[in-house]
Amino acid sequence: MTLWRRLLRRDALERDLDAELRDHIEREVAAGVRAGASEADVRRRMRLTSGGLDQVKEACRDVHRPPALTDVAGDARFAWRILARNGWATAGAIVTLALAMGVANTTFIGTYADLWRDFPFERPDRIAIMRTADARGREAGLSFADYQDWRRDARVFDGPSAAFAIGAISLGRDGATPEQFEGLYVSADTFSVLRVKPMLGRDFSAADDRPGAEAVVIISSNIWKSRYAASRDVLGRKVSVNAAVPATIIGVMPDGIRFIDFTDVWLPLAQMPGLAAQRRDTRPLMMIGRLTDGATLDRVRADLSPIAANLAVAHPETNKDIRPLVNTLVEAYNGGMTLTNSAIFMPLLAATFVLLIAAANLANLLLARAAYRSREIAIRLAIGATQWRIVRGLLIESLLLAAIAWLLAVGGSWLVLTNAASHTAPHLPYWRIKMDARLLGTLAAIALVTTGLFGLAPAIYASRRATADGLKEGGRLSTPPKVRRWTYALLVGQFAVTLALLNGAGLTARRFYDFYTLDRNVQTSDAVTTLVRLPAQTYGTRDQRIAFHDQLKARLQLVPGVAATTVASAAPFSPAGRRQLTSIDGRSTTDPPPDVMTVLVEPAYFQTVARGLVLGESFSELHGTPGHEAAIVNQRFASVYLGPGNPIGRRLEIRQPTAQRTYLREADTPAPPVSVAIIGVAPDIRQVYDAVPVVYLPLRAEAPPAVALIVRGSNGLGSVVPAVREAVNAIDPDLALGAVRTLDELRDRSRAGTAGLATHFATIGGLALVFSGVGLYSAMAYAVRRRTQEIAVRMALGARAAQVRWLFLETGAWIIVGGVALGVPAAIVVGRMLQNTFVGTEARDVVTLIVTVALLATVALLASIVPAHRATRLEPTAALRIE
Amino acid sequence: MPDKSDLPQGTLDLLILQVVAAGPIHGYAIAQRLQLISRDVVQVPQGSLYPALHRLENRGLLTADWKASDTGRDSKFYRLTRKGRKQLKEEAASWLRLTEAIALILKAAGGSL
Repeated sequence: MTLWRRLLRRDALERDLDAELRDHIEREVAAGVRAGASEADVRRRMRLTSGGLDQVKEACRDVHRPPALTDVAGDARFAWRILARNGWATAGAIVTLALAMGVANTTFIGTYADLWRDFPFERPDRIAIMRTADARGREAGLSFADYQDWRRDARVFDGPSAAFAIGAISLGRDGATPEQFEGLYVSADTFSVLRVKPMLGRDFSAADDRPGAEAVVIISSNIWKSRYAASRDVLGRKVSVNAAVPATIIGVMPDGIRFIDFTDVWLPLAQMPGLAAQRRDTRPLMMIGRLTDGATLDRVRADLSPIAANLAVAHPETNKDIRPLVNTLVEAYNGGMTLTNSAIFMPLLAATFVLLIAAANLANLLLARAAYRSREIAIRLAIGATQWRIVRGLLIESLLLAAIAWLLAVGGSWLVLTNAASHTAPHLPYWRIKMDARLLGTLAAIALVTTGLFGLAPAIYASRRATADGLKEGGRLSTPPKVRRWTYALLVGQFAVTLALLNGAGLTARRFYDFYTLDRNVQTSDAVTTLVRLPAQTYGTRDQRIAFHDQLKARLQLVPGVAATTVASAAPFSPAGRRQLTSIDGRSTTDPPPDVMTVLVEPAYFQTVARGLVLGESFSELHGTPGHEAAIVNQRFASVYLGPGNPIGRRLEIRQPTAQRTYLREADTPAPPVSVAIIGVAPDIRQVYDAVPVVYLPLRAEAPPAVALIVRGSNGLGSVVPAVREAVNAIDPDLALGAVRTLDELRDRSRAGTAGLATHFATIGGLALVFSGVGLYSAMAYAVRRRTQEIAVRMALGARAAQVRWLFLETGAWIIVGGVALGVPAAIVVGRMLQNTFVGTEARDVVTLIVTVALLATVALLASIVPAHRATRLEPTAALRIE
Repeated sequence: MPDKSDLPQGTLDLLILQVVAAGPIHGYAIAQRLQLISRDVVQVPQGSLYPALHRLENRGLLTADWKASDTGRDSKFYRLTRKGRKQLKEEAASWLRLTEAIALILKAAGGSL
């Protein structure tokens, strides 16, 4: 009989046992009555000889209980009683552990979701995604011509390979207002490489992907529902793509299929404007292929490298030093991050350290309690308990604590993460919280092993104390010096780790504060931005585009509630193009020349998004026309490239980079090299991660087809968004706006990562500080209690309060000195790792370090001064009587 | 009155097996038979009998069924299993060997009793 069935059968056994024993009693009574005794007499005699029915039953039940289980169950019950009796201490220990485990669990579960996205594709780890890198390691996509050569010559894939490029695609003239969507131009085999099929209609065929073929569209189930009311006759519907190309809807993808990120519209690659004519150094594509069984990424690299090398020989002017960059789809989504990446393991490590600090607190608590309980343990040993039994009992106590804390922690993490996911998931493709058995098992193992290990030492120590010793000392509190040394070593370790974590928190917080102050340069409130993409078919020339924007501006300025409006090649907090800075004041810069971020703006840009310029004046309407070349640089550019002195009037020469490295957007229109004079200095307006050197050029000179429209409302934004749509469609009814976002939203999203890391570190550092403080406090309080008698004697003999206080402060002081001595190097190591993780933090930020040490020392001082002070207020007579 | 504690360790199991070997029998009857055959020397209280029966059942030496009995109630009747029969044979043999040996020693030692 298995253990489990035995447990399940307990009720049946119980009924059986009862019936059997009653049968016996009835028979004996009947026999007694037959022999002439009264029934009552027989029953009384039976009770005397056999004991009560319950004793007999218990004796029988013992037979059925597996012995080991009864012991463990008994130990667990005993542990529970002990824990329940020390209600507050237990609750404190559980809360401490639960908080630490909660932080650890949340971090691990979040990282797990980051690293292993939940792809709706079959075996995503077998899908290779290919791009290119140049000699300087700069990553780019693949040109259309290169793709065709790679596809023809590659032998390593299971079935065909495919390629795709990202582009915004708008749909219109289908009865609904024109809308812009995230789009993807895909070669015919893309969906068969991914092994997904439309749920309605058909996939693209090879015939669809030929130049000159009629345009066909596959849409996501998202817009099938929102735009076409989930109607089945959407197949065959005519739509106008990008306000220019008539097309037919041929398929609807299933829910959740939005390859590559949040794509809603797919078109054949052949429909991508100008693709076939692109040079080999325009690299908008990414290529995918399925690995054959057993093939590794290295096989793919080995297969593609000779092809790339041949192309480099055949086309040296575009393909020299261009090598294939091969990843799995999984890697492509998590940025190639693995657990060895410091951005990934830093938070995990920090969370684990907090768990260690909490576990060390628990160990100290258990050590103190073991000394407390020496009498109980001595008695148990004296009446025959084995040492193993005592250790097991104490271990069960700490594991019970850990298990309760773990359950609380998992529940808490779940709440925190589902809440966080509602913010994150819309921006991170395929990001989903997964709590599978493997992850939960790992977390439980980490939690239980940590607590178990820290619980084991006190348990073994407690069980080893000599029996006679424990009994003799009775209930007196005493801790041998060896244990005290362990306690203090743990405290020093705690403070060292806390220092490193707090310093990390300080560095990230400072970094976030830098962002925060920097971003105040931009007036984000009451401003919205959206992408306006003018199709090449109808707005082929610069003058047509300028005319459109002038007309739009004129209309918008008449709208009540619109305070200001401007267009730029990129809105603040979004990626902008880069150009080469070839010379400054006629002197050449480095070779190859540095890429500087370039934003094309209208004269009103700085008044609209910021508070004007720092120095000089903005562009006029004349700038950007031939003979009036001018530039505005930001403060960072001035300090990096121009040094001290007035930047106004200095000359720069700026050139479009020879190689188009973009793959995330369609190629920008090529721009001729220009020599410009600096006429103004702008405040630092952040585009992406940090304040980087930026050159602003007049938009009028180029008027790119895709620009960010920025509109500021005079009071609130309520009426502005519909008014903008109305104004755009009044000029061109086919034109679709992109998603409308507020500048606040863009700003928050652009620093969400930093904010997240700063919050994480602040939480962890704060918890570590609290735990260490509480740990030191309780150790000190315990020491005071333990030495009550000694203090009383000292005071009775005339010791002064300061001397008594020093008894305890000295220990606290040594702990903090030890903690700082070990913690400062640790903090520098953490700082260096943070520096690798994100740009802009200083590994040796002395101010932060000093503040951290001061904070830690203050907490340690408070934690030891309170119990020490209490010691001085002992009444000697009362203290002596405690014993 | 001698009770279980006067029976050498393990003998109760042997006695029970021997009684059950005669055919299906319930707990009360086992106690009665032991008392009868031993001429009242062996009186097994419930607190010893039933744990022993359940232990033997758990070890697979006995098996039991609930059957209608003379009282009109169902009673639990124990039977020997094959394993139980084998165990009985071995233990009975070893017990007899041991008692014979003890008797020899007691006789040889003579007088001093």
